[in-house]
Amino acid sequence: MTGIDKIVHAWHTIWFQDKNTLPLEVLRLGLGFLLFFNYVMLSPQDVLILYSNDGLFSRDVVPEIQYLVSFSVFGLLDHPWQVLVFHYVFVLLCFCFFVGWQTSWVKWLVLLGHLSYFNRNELLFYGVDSVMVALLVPLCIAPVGNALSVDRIRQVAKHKIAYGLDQRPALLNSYRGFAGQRLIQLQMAVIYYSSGVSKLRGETWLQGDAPWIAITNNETAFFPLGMFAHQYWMIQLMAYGTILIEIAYPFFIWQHKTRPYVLASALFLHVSIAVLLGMYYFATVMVFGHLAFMRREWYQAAGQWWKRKVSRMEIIYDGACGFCKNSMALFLAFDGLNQIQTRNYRSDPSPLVPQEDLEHALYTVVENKPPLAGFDAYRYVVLRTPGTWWFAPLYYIPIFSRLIGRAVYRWIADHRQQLSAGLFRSRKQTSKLS
Amino acid sequence: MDKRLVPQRIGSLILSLFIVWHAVGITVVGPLNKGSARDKLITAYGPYLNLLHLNDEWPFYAPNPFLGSIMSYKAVDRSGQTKTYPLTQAHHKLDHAYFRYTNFYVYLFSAPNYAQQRGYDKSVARFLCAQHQGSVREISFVLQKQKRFTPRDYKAGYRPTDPPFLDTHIFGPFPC
Repeated sequence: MTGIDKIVHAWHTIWFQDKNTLPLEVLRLGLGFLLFFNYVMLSPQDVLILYSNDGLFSRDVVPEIQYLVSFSVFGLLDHPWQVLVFHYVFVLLCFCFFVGWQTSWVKWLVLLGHLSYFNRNELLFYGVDSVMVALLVPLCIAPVGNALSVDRIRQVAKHKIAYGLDQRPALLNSYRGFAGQRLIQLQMAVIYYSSGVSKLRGETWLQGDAPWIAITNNETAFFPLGMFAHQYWMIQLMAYGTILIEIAYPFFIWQHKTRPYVLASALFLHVSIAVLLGMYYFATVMVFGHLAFMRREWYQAAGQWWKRKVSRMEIIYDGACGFCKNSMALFLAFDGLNQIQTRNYRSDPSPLVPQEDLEHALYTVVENKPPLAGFDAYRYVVLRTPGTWWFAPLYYIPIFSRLIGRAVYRWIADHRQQLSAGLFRSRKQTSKLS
Repeated sequence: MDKRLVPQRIGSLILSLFIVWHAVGITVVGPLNKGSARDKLITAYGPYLNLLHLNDEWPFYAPNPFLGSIMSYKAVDRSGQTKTYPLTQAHHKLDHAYFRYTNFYVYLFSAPNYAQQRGYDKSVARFLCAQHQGSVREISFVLQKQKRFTPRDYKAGYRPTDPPFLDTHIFGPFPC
């Protein structure tokens, strides 16, 4: 191996490993939710006061928003209704980014939109917004939306319909995704190091008083002062602990052995900031930034632990019914951990549930438990499959869920042949038209 | 070389160039506020870092945390009566927009000359006047800056926003 080959090899090892994008998808999910939350929480009145021409800053005091470097879409909007339409379209885009729908282009619009808010009124923004941009840029470079997303669910469902319910396309491995993850890691290390070093220039940090000043600041005073006034050593411990964590972070985050401790310390630091200073939005964005250092093995181990904890589940369905097969493919697409086995009772009869019962309802069979039918079969599964947790509450509203859910399920089960016929008819018409 | 690998190699090369560019920007040019390396690179990097707001030293609560401020405004109505309205304290602390408004009003006069030069002060005054729908003649901003408050002060029964620990500055008046 020549010297150049060695350098190229080292470069590839650092930046271009062919690995799945799971850590980035967790980041996308978290940052997407936080962006959505950040903007949807602004009332229409807030939006008009903060960003419209009739608000705090008329457009003539921010002439730079028409130029490329400080461009803001708000510069093109003359009327309050236009500002509100833009705002709610952007909120919708943030939601799409969060759930991972059309992520490959939505992410760019989210970055552009966030910068538009940033540029429209420079006095509104603080550190968290810069951190958000710094994390969004690598996410735009990387191919996100390939896991934990609606895009992935659609891909898996299509694959299952085409190749069988037990088939699942592999997660995308991407060197571009790995490079994006590395850039985020580097960014987090730089943020921590710069922040730590700049604290060393402040006398209040060196004397251990800085956290006291922060918690007595009227704007961020969220915590009763009494305890800290009487136990001042806690304040000093916080000051020196913060500097230590921030400066140690870029040096010890890369090593296999020290990474869990450094991550736990950073997490503790941000939980403290959220509790003491009420800056929960900033704290959560930073926590998600740190998650770029989560190892894929940790996610895999957590997944395996969950699978071991939850018994194996088998869903028995009617394979002769097209509607049942398609809805099963869609449902199974949410099962990212592959916890659910399926059985088509037409070709593979179940030894546990009689055939005549299966004619009326889908069943879930779990070890050492009686089989569950219909709505209750789904109800059991959604709570034990992480991918379906987001709609699990619908299945657990006391009395209401069972009352309505069972009736709806029964109606669908009784009409499944008609639904299948309708589905195939519309498919045929679509294919004829195309 | 296998022809199928050519696009992949070109992709890797372009991405490598971007990585070097971006990594130098975020590690050297953005966070360092001075230094010969930064001075040489800032001309090339300025537009890129400004565009993405990455021209940042990340000085969270540094070099020293800010002492707080309370901002309000006094409005003189047509009959000459003066009434004070809160600005930084107009929102509940758990309201998500609280930090946006607080940030805005605190930064508005953190560099008064800059605010004046840009016309920010007049723009905000115009907005606040409009809120009173013609009933107000002029308004002035009242900025109360917190002074250093010690644990000893706390033990003596004071609180951080008690009058002895506030410095008051008036900006204006701005005619409506």
